[in-house]
Amino acid sequence: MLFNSYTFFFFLIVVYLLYWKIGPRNLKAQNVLILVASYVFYGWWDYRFLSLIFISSLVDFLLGLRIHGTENQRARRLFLTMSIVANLGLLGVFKYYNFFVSEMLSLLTGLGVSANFGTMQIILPVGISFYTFQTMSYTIDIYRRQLEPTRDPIAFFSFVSFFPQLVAGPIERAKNLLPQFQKERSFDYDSSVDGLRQILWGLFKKVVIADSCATYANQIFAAPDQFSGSVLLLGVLYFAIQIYGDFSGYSDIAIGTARLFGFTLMRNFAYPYFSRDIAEFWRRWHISLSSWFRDYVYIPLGGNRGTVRRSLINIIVTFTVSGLWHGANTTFIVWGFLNGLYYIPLFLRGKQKKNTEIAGFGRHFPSLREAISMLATFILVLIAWVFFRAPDLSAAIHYLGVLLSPSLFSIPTTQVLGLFWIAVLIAVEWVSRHKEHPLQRLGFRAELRWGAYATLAVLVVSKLSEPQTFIYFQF
Amino acid sequence: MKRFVIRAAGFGFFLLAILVAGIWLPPSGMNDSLLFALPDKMVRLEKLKSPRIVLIGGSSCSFGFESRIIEERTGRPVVNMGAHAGLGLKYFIDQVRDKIARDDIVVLSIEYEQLADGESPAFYGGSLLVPVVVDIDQYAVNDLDVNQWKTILKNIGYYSANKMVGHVETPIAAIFRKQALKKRKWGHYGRMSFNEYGDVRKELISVGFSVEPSKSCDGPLLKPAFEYLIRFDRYLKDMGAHLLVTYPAMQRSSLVKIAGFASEVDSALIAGGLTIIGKPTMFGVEDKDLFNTMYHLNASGRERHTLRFATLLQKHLKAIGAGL
Repeated sequence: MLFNSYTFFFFLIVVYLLYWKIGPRNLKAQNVLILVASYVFYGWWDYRFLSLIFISSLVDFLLGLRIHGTENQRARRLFLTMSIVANLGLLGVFKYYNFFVSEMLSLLTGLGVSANFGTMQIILPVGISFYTFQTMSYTIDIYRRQLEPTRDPIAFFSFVSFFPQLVAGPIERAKNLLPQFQKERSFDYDSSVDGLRQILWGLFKKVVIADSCATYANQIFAAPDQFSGSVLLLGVLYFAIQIYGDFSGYSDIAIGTARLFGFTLMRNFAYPYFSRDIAEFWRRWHISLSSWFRDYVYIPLGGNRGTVRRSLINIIVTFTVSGLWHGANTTFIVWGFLNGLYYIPLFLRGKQKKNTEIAGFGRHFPSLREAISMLATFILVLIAWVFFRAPDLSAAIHYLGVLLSPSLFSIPTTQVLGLFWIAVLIAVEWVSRHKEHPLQRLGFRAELRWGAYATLAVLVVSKLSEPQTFIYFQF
Repeated sequence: MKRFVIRAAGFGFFLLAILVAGIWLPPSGMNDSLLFALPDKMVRLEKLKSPRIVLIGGSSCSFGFESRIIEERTGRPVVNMGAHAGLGLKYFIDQVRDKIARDDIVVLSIEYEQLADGESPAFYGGSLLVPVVVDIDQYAVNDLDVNQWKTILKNIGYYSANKMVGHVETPIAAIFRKQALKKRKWGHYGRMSFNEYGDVRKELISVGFSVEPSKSCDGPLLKPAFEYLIRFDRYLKDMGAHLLVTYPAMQRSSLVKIAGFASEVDSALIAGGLTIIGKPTMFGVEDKDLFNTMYHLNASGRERHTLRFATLLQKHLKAIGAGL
């Protein structure tokens, strides 16, 4: 069930009314409703996927209790290993098996060894990388004694499958979300109204901006030889806005929907394209995943506590694995690796935490220095996006080759109309960068506010003929 | 909570009112699209005297027949009502049903996907049905069934919102693109793309493009579609008119991909007692005869297909006693 479909709209109304009809005093029934609704939501794609999420939830629920229930360190470690193997095993089979088999075959063939491993016909379950990471963090936190396991299976299963963030995050930590399933959730008018506004803004970003940019990006990436370097630059710009609008739009809808049910999800995007260096970009882009990798990969590897050489290896490994998380393709690995390389100079100069406030903080416009930093960071991000978007490495290199030809300095004559929406997005987000989302605290008179909401809603409806899926569902 | 629900519902109704109002706006930017040729074709159908030959179907019909040849071969006036498969076979039939008179020959050229079942069966039409019902052929409302209403309700908000956006967007786009203010060039998909018979004008399809073979349909047959065809056949028989069903000219390599489905369609039509002209395989065409899709023929391909079809049609007309 897609957020940008009428089916979801009606589903949401029904679940919402039932949920508050049950009322906060009947917490168990509310959780049961959320669990059932979440399984319906997920099963809408393919009911067979439900067995995976059920197994993943059950394994981690039981192992969480076992880890907590013993003081024997070896046993605790064994149970944690079982949890990690089960979750990564699911991911490995459903997401990476064919990739590794085909890469191994290519390698062996290149070495002159004939081998024959069969690949499998596997459907990638929607959102599997998101919920497996979410459940893994639960058992790891229990192992680290940072979290008490829950004995309430309904609360735990609801936490894993919570439909607003099930298929594309934010990847919630049990520490934040699980307690919310265990205490009374009361209705809050202001939070609900703001949730609706955030949903509307998320829909606008996805349906109007991202899907419009997708049309141009797809055309340009499909036939880069037919266009000049300047149009290819537009192509990657369109993709950058597409993926941002698509994914941050999803996150806004997820966070807004959760607020309607009295939940607070973590922020996932904080105006990343206004970042002044790549470290800031990664603190503002897909925050729930970046922080997950920081807490569960980078720090356990040793973080920056060892030698400089060891720290650099940790950085590169973390970024590369985060690239692999996105998909079974060398392009994602290179994308992650490239971002790791971008990060290293900042790390070596100890400036990775230099920019913590948003650019132009307390002012209308950025300083010249900030503007140059933002532009330079954005260019680095664009180069990396080429690898992310291209079907394979040779296509990415070819794309960059044509892009960086002398025709880069020609004036693009086609595919320019999409720039209108990019300009709208950048202008609105710049003005709103001190807020969580642009429709928060608009400060206009009620009639003007309703006019603005209605305009956005009409624009959304005007693009809703065939709902387009979200890019991050494939991850 | 109550206040929130009331205000949220209030906004919902406010939005609904805006969208309902948008329906009444004049169509934006599509007044010259091929859908607006439907009334022109209807005028010709009403003007011609029976016994006529009425060709109905999707775009494979308007791209696939040269009515002049059929008229010369049969001596009957011909009208080509073919428009767009997105309107659905049911609409094609409903559109002409009341206009058919005794001794008329209705030739139905069916794109295969019109008879396939699925999530949104093509038989009932898609989003294109909305502009037709709202702005072109309001009488079509009387014939809509539940499935068509579902399609319309699903898409009417989209259509209304698009009209509103279009009225704002067109002048803005004109600033960037000079031709936006001039008449949009519809090429072979415009109101003016048809000749006096209703066929796509020859000069618009003189060339050919490379067409990638593809599988256009699969899955089970849509039983209600066959039942509808059988009822339509009976209706025509009762009034002394005839229904002849034929298959569209189609890229041979694409036809191969749906050979099993096409054969099932043929068997089901025969089992339903319908009169069929030809077999699916007879109408497979080479790539050189295609214009821009697997169903669209270029001028020379169309002439070849029409000659082949006209020969078969003459035989059938003689067989049913409606020949020259």
